[in-house]
Amino acid sequence: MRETFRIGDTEHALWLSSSDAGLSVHLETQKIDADIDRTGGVRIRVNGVAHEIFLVARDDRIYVHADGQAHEIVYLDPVLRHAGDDSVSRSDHLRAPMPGAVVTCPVKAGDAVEPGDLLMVIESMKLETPFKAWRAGLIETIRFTVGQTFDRDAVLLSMMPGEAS
Amino acid sequence: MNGRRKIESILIANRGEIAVRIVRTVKQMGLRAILVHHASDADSPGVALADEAIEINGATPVAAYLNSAEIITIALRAGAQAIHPGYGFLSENADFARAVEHAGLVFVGPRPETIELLGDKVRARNFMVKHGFPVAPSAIEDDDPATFVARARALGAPLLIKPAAGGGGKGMRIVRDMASLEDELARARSEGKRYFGDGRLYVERYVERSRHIEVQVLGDAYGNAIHLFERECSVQRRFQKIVEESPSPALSANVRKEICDVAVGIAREAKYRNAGTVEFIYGDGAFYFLEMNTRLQVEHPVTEMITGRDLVAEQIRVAQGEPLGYNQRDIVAKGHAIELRIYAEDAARGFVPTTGRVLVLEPPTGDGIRVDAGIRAGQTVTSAFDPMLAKLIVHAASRTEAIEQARQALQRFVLLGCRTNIGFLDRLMDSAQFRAGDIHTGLIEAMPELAADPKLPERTVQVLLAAAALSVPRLVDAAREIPALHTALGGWRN
Repeated sequence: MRETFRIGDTEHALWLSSSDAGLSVHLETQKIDADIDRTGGVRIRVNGVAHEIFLVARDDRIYVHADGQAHEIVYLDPVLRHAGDDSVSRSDHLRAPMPGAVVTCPVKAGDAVEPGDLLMVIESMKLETPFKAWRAGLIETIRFTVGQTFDRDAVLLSMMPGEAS
Repeated sequence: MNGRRKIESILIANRGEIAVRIVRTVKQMGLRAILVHHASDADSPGVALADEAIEINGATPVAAYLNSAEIITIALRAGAQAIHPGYGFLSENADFARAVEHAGLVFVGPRPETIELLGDKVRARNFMVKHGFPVAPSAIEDDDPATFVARARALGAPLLIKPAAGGGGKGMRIVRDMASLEDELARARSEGKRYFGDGRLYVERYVERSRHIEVQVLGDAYGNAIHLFERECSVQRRFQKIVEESPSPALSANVRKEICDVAVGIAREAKYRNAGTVEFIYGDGAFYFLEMNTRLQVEHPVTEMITGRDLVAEQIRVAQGEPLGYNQRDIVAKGHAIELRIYAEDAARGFVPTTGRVLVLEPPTGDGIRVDAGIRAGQTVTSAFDPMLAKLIVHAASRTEAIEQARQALQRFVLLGCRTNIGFLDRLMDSAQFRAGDIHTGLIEAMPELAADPKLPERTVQVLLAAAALSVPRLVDAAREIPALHTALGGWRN
């Protein structure tokens, strides 16, 4: 079965086969014979040439230091890939564009907001960034309080349709 | 004037790489190192290395390291005679320095009055003018608020607006179009109020393509002051330094002597005690006083590498009331040193800070290579603190050799699990501009192509895909279960 890996913004399809000689990685246009020796440091042999690398896998990510640089490869698991389509609900969440901390949050759950109303101010990289309501609605939940820190892509606040009662 | 006072144990009020750095020297001197730490730093290498580690509390991790009352109480209880503040946090807080002394402890740094004098940019500037040291043409709001805008306008573009109480690049704005002067002043004022609780401003002539050159000074309690040469810190982004080196590739022997002598003159005139740094703007053949930092600098290892002096040990000796015991002729600079700051950030995505768990950490080692790191494998990098993870410092006979050594060390610096700027630094070292020493404070902005992730050679992509595929057990197991013949037929027909 074809599997997909992403390096940077580029997706690569491949599949694995095995023979008496070992494992082969099949790319669109070529076949690579490869094996990994995990005793001590990691040594990977690609088409007969040995490369000393550092490698660690965690969840769907494979981190590799090779050719003098760190790389991050994402394994796009076919099961997870087609399950998590949240494009509809996503527009109702304010997600953090970068890690940071909440500086102020003038709204609370249940508040009605108009487009342009200030929802939250975060601090990141020594800069304050204000977030304003992107549409009218009600504040559903606020996930972080003033002073709390969050990682990139964390849901800071959720909105739901509705108006002030 | 302080009398002599033997210090036997020192509390270090800081975290990260500088805590490790200070603990190391304190222990080498045969003294006891007590490190305070917030719970989120319990796994940090400084805590592991210190003789004693004591937890401090605060509403946020940063607030814990700013909790001066608790830190002083802990120092007294733990039997420390002195507090070393490192850099940042409480290091340039005159009230803290005073409170430490009132508690009967030694503050490893200058006198509180000196911090006050040099910490206020306007006051420091007036002090320099009074004593005949060079400052950039400027307009100070406090001199006459009613005519401030007119005086600023008279200086001509480009201008740099700075908050009087500022530091760290916050609230600083460059004005190239005088039509926007009043808008920019209003914005700088509001930032100054927000960050420093003080909206007073001043405006300086801005030198385009200028260099940032600073001089390390050291003074004792008896009026002796010397310099330990300059550091060039022109490679910056948003007023944050990224690469520092010594000697500066820009200075002739004459100008080097002149700028170092001015720095010593300032230290002497201010009766400066302990380690400090006088920062200058250098451009068009002239240099101007920028500010004085009354503490140990992040980039102090550059100076240590070329002079062979341990600046933290010197700080502690001076704090004990010892005289310097040597003079300017005894300070000799050898070779060339470069420091590269390793940040948790993604250069290709506008340098946004990154987070993650450090899964593998293998810093380079070898002759002329020093790594000051505040992290260890297994530790999680969060956004709660400054994104600087470590500093790589290299030392070689010449600048060209130091650049080569820096590149090799960067390429051997293995840090997996959290994206860093290591690749960016390698590309920067390799750039024609850096190699030529043709650097200025706007260099990074002027070379956006350096920030982009480079296209990988096909060979590297093959290694990465093979390594990745062989790291997913499910794929490897599945391939081994299917007879080779079937896979050969299967191919791409799924």
